[in-house]
Amino acid sequence: MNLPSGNKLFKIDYVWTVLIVLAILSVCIIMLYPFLYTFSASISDPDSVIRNQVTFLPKGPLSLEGYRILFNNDRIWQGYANTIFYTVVGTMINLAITILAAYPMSRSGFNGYRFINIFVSLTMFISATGMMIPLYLVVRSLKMLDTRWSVLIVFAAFPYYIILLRSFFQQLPEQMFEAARLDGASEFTILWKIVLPLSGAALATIGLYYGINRWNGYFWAMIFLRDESLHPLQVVLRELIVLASMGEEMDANLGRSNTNAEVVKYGAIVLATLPVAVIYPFIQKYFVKGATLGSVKG
Amino acid sequence: MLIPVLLYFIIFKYLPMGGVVIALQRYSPFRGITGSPWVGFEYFRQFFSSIYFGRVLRNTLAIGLFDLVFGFPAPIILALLLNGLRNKSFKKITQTVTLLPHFVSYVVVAGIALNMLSPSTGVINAFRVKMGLDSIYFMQESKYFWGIFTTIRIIKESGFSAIIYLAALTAIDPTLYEAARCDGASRPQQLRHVTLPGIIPTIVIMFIIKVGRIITISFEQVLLLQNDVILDTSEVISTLVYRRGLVNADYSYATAVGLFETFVALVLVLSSNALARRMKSESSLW
Repeated sequence: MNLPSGNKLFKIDYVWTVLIVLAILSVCIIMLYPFLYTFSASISDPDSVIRNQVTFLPKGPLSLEGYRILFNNDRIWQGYANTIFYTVVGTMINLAITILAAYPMSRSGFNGYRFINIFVSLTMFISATGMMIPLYLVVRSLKMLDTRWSVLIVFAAFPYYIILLRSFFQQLPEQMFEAARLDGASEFTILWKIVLPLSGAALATIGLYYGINRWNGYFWAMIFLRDESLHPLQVVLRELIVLASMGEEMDANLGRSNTNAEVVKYGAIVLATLPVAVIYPFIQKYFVKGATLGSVKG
Repeated sequence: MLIPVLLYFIIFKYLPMGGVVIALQRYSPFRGITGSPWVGFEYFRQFFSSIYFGRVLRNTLAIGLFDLVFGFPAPIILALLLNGLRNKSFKKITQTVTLLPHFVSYVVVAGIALNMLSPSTGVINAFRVKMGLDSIYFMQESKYFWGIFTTIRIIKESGFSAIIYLAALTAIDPTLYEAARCDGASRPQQLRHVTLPGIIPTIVIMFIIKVGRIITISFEQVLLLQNDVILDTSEVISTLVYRRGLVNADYSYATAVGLFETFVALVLVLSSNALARRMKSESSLW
């Protein structure tokens, strides 16, 4: 092996470090640029946006026209309120079912231990595509279409997170359970008074995953809810941004255009992303923990 | 304690699983499962002999393959780059930035992408025009779809997928690096002889798992970027199920297509899981 001498080694390592920093900076730019561009466009002069003059920084006299239109749009606010409701109530339901399933699954002394583990784990293998139509028909036959319950209850728990929480519960010391049982505590008391207070970090992690899912989901809400007043923000946004940009290209081809439509779209994207972007740096560590949780106990 | 759990799983997981029998019926919601006539494999035959079968299978595999070839190495490279940073706070900030897109909804990401790619008001075409090139109508030309979809997925998910590799990287014994340095190894040499061998088991397992999910393409993601003009390259199995079942109400046909996907996906996932488990137990070999 030809090893570089001390001085050359220093040079190689220096160049290497510079290359890494440059590479990582370009990755960051690629990932941040779409958001910065969207934000700039949202506060630019609507005319400059339409004429495609915004590339990075806001162009023309700063204008909050897009936001003004959005603030007067009831659907956006209704969507916001609905999303907050679905996220808060939905996440609580998610956690409740996940805890109630994970706890018995973690107690090997429990009679139905094998059954409940297989019962829950089996459902992890069914593909979402295969279940799409039958699930829709079940919800329909339960007369749950167009009710808030459909969105809240149909995805009350993800088997994957149940298994994560089960693995966490299994790591708690067995002696603790025996001591509590000797003192005459019921299983429910043990869960409520002993297990849950010890599981704060795990529950926070899983709850945040559920919460983000609730906040970002659009597909099933779009399928289950025809009544616009029940739509969460993402469904409203989809109509406003995704469907509109397709229609607009056609309008533009026909020579029609609405000057403010573009800034409204950019503003809506900013409003929908802002809560996530603001909260996320503070809760990031829980997500990082959650992503590696599964790999600890395969 | 178990009653709500059992009820939930029976009604919303096992009942739909049983509901797939409508793939063998000419199902009508008014007659229900008990009243609808049985037609055997009629709808499977229809699907396999239609032009859609070849098309959606090709698109599904193509997107899956693009995701494997380009989407699989991306988080590994990103993790290696992040791991190569010496400054702790710089590393933390960059990780926060690269994770951010994962937490933004696909609706927002699709909205931003469609805006940026637009021929009239999109920034990408603005750059093209500045450079004297023609502007391209990206979302109306079939040939771009696979590339666009994969690029968006890479930008959105690489930061999150990198976490698992970062965890594997921190598990590498630091004395190995010290020994390498004492032997006069440069940083590129350390990468080649210490870092990479240290994470190869993780890479192999993640690769097998990823191959197992190659045909499982999220309809929620494709649907947002799809439009009628480019259906010939953007229609995948799962979006066909959505279109035929939930838009056209051809419940039996869509269920048959979904069942086909479930079957192929199950075979792939089970074999990849088995292989991954075997690798895990043998991973001490590396």
